[in-house]
Amino acid sequence: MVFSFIDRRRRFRLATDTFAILERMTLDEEVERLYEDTRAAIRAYLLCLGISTSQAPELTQETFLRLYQTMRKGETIENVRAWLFRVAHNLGVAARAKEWHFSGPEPDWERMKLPAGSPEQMLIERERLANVQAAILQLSPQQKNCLYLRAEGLRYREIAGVLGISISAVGEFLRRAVEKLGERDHG
Amino acid sequence: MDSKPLAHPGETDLLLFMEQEMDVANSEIVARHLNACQLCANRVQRMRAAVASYASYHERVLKPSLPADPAAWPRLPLAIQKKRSYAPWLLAAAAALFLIAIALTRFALPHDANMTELLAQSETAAEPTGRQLAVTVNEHNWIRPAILAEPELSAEPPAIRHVHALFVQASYNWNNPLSARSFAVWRASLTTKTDRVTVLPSRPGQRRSYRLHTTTATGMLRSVALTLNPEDLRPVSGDFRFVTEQVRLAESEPRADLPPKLVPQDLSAAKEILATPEDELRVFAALNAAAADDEDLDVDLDSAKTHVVVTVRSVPETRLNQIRAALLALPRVSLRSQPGSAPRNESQSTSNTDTDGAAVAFRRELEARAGGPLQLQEIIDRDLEASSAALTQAHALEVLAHKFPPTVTREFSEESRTTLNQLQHIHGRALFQEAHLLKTDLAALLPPTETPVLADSDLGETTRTLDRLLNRLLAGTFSQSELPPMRAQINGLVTHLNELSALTSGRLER
Repeated sequence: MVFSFIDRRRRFRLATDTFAILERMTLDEEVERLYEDTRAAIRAYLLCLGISTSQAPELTQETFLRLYQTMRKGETIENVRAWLFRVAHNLGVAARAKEWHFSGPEPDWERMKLPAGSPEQMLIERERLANVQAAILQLSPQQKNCLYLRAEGLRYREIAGVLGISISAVGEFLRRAVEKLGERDHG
Repeated sequence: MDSKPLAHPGETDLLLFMEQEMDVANSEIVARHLNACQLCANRVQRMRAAVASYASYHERVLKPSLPADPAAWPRLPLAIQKKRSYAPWLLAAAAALFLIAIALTRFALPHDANMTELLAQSETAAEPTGRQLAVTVNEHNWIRPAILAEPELSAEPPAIRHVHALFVQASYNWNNPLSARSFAVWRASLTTKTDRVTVLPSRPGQRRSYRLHTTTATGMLRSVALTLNPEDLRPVSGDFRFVTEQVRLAESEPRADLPPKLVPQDLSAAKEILATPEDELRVFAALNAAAADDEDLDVDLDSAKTHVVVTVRSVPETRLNQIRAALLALPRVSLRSQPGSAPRNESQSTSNTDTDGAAVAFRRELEARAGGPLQLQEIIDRDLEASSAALTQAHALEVLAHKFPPTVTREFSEESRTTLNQLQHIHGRALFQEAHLLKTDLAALLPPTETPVLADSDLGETTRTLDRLLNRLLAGTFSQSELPPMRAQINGLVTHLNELSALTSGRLER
């Protein structure tokens, strides 16, 4: 009997999967693999927290070293990716002292990645994205932060863990953000 | 369906529902409401569009606007971390142990104790005539000839077949396992390895004896340690540490009373370890946990019922390794890879293509409803994916029901019952969400113009037919006369699927 597993959203994994696989590989190799796979995402997040281009790689590295130390102690990490964002967030906030806030970069429209299409379609898409950008400017730093982490694939519970707020607060921040984005879309 | 009127859910509840962040019980309430309330269905639609807008902004504008990654990332200084994390007393104890080891073994690595050189010398050692090996694994042990002619797996007793299979899976020569050549071939195939040569204590005047030890972090076989005879350096014993078991081979005194072929000494192994449905269930859970998606898999017991055989087709090597890693820790599992068969040609006959321009006109109608061609394409992509995912989830539920009926689960441990329940829950919930997404999208895109054709098929048949029809409809492979009945049938099937998935989900909840 053919059994196809196509859970494209990958949202319904058993809670232990990430660590169960990790256990079977050597720690050094696994942390190095995670470092290669995830460092760009962590650095990007730190840059959005306002960390300088020169300091972001250092804090990224520190994040992974902490992961290594934690795993060496045999502590269970349910979702490594969310854990890394949480540690990076704390390191980023500590580095900026009281000055931190989630801002994100100034959009560089020259580097925008547009899907292939006719010039007209591309123009429409660019205009649509400019509208989204205008809506994002109206959002609070926490709303932007929640949207960013959600787009990075974190669940609400995990976003709450990263930012140190409640799950319901995450829901509320996202609701308001989505509302403002929707107003722009339909307004 | 509950006939009670339901209050409109708040925006936060709708968002939680849409994001699949809501518990199943409340999801069902909201889903029932959305089925009946077009106003709220439209609100969800707007939220979904807003979230999708941000996602595309995130990928297309925000991330490309960040400063580029460093040309060369610094390496992680893990070695320093290791040193840093050793407690001083541990270092002192390790040093003391090292000194004791030197004192006891007069340990001194000679300059010639090089792994490659020793192996080369060992390979030239003559094979003693009639040499036999004692094999020990778990509580089983038996004697076998050192060199086997091609053994037939099926002719071997189960315990021996099991060990044989371990060696085959690890690509280690089972026909002549206690030889320098077999060890060297396996060692050369490793991408990462650590070698260690140990000089064993010897009596004064005797030649040195060596132990060659190679470990690796990947694969089925994690380490092999061969002990060499001091006289001719032939391997006289070997310890093979597999992920799941430890196998020991040692040269055994030739015994004249033994027949020349394989002679089990203790085959309480005849009390064969059979694979059970619980083993099979663990395989399903491991595959699910590893998100082994987009792969065609056969999961079945072999004919002897000693292994759960997982057969995968058309899988890239990296993905195959991930699946292998997910299954490594499980007992009595064997993974097979097959090249894929040519895809079945499921395209419709040419008579179904858009010969009368019906599809073009229909697409324009859909574009107008969706708000433009880009928006329509987004909905089409999303719905085809949802339909395909619903098909898979329904199939998964069917397989679980077929493989683990109550007559089987009656014998299950509590843990296995929980695992099965979790799996059913995962698929049931996913199916429910996909069905609802289809219902919401299609309600806006395909408002019924004909009386829906009421479907009366089971879950599997419903999802299969729906997926086939949706693919035809959204790909535009139909004629004018086919369109109205096709729409009516799709509407009926979507309604039926929602009812079935709600029923399934509700039953699993209980």
